Amino acid sequence: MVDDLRKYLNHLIEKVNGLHCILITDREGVPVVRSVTEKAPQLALRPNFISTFGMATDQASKLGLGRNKTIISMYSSYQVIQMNKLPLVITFIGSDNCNTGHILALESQIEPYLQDLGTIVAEAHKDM
Amino acid sequence: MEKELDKVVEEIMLTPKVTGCIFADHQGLCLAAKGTAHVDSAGILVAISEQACKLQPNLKPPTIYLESDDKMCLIQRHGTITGGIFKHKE
Amino acid sequence: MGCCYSICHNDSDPQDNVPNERTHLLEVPEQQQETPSPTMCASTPPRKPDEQSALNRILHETATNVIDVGALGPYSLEANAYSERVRAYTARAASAALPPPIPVKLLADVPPTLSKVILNGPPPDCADKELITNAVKKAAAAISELRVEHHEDLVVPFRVP
Repeated sequence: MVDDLRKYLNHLIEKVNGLHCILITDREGVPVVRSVTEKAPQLALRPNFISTFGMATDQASKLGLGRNKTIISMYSSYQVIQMNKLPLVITFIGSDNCNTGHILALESQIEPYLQDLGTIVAEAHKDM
Repeated sequence: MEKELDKVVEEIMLTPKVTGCIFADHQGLCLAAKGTAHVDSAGILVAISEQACKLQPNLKPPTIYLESDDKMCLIQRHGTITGGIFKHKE
Repeated sequence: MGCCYSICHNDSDPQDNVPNERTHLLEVPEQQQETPSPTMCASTPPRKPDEQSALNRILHETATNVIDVGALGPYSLEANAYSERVRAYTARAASAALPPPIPVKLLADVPPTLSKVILNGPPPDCADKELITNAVKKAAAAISELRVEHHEDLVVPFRVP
């Protein structure tokens, strides 16, 4: 059940100090599962912010370093970490002094559930 | 430009029974990792150090000693840098 | 024998300028010969459009490799497409049999008998504490020395005569 996954993501958010939300979306920013606290900036949860990663990761893959996996963006009050798991995108938003390395370590704890979610997105796209 | 840091890491690795060494910055990003210490463990080590510091907030950062049957891990923070050393026990 | 000879004749021979029974009596330019062929034989592409498709392929490959952020403007999903997708994902996720995530228990309570043994055991070695403290002090000093080493000029004038 997606609710179980959301509870699990909530549990992960509690483990990392300063992490505000975890979003698993498709490439255009449409949410599949999201876990959000009140501190998360609302504008950053919208598809037109999250979808910028799709373009950024494509262009970043042309830099001669191979396929782009993660982009970390540091802002004055927040940090945004986005991971390329196409057809899915995982977005973490935390405070500016949040432990970035700890957030990156969460990837291995979310990875096992991505295959099923990826199938949901792929099949939904086939029908559209 | 990290020659000095590499020298420090090499020196630590030459210490008897040391199997791995890792240094991370205040945001949990790995600065250097050698031997059995994995680059991805930087974030977790800094998180452990931060939590331990909360036990007695106004004191110096404590030394954390994780031990198993045959191995141990020492973690210590100094300023913004957190270091971890992995060793074999006696 | 003349017939046998013409069957065994090599196709490359017409390229020689020796007239034989196969030489065209009227010179027909190649373009006129080939315009009916695209409609008749689609499997064999004619020569001039070959260049065109090769050029297109090169252009397409270059465009794929070029980094051009400005080319793709701000693209946002329309409201109805967005809500349609949300509905589709929610419906599929609800019906999908996702295995429940199990939070991993890394630390477990030790029974009191064992905890007494551990707490009464020998304290960690002073030498180890010294090791890690000195190590991290030296590393912090080394990291404060981190700087970019300037070897050559970053701005180089093009030697345009």
